Amino acid sequence: MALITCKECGAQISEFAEVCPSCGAPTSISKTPPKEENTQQAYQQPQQAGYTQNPELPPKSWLVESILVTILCCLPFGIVGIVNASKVESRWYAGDKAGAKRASEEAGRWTKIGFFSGLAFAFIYVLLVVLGAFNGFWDGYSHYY
Amino acid sequence: MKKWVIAIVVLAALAILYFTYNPAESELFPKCPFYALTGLKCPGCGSQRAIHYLFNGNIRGAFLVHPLLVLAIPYLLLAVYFEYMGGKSKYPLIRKRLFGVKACIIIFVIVLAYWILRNIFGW
Repeated sequence: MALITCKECGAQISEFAEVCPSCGAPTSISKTPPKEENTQQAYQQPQQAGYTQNPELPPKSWLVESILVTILCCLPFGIVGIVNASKVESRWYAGDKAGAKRASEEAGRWTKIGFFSGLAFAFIYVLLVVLGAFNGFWDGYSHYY
Repeated sequence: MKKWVIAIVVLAALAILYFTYNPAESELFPKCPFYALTGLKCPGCGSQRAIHYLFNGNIRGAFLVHPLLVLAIPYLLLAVYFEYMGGKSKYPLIRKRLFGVKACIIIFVIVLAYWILRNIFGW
């Protein structure tokens, strides 16, 4: 967290403050979003319908998607998603709304990584089967997925 | 809107594929790399066969290859209602109870326990 100088009275104030605590003048925060949001937008993220604007509710925790990724295919990514889902909830109800939003973005990222790596694996696998790379490889083998 | 059309077409194609072919009998379905390397099942093993059995109305068959997936379906449907169909604004307290921190921790423990137990008991 960095300090900025108030344009009105010159006091050192938090960059997250919406108004200067010493003189009450509004800061530029409402016009320019804080740094954190810029970096998140750089990671090309479509506007999620699940990101609620309702102040009563935490941001999307990605719990359903994380569970699906875990029990359908890609355990490590799904587990990271579930852990982040719990962080979204705990931070939100502890009053740390920015932290909850960060955890929400993290959860979404890992869920998507899990989903797309599973998809890529399946695609490459099918390609190799079609090319005959596994001829005889699985013989006498009971396999799972 | 275009994205949705593509998603629905892909999902429908996958549904027909998994309805028609049994992943246990066809070479074309990807195998679990974790199982191939270690000989142990992961918490996702059996999902393709379970989906095939579910599409064919064979709940027992699905339960035998992937019990957790079958048991999770009612909870997941409820979660979809709460997340995407307005349930969370209507019943925020129930949402917190069912999908809050405690729920996440319980799910985490269940997944790890399932991982260990299914390798002991051969689920």
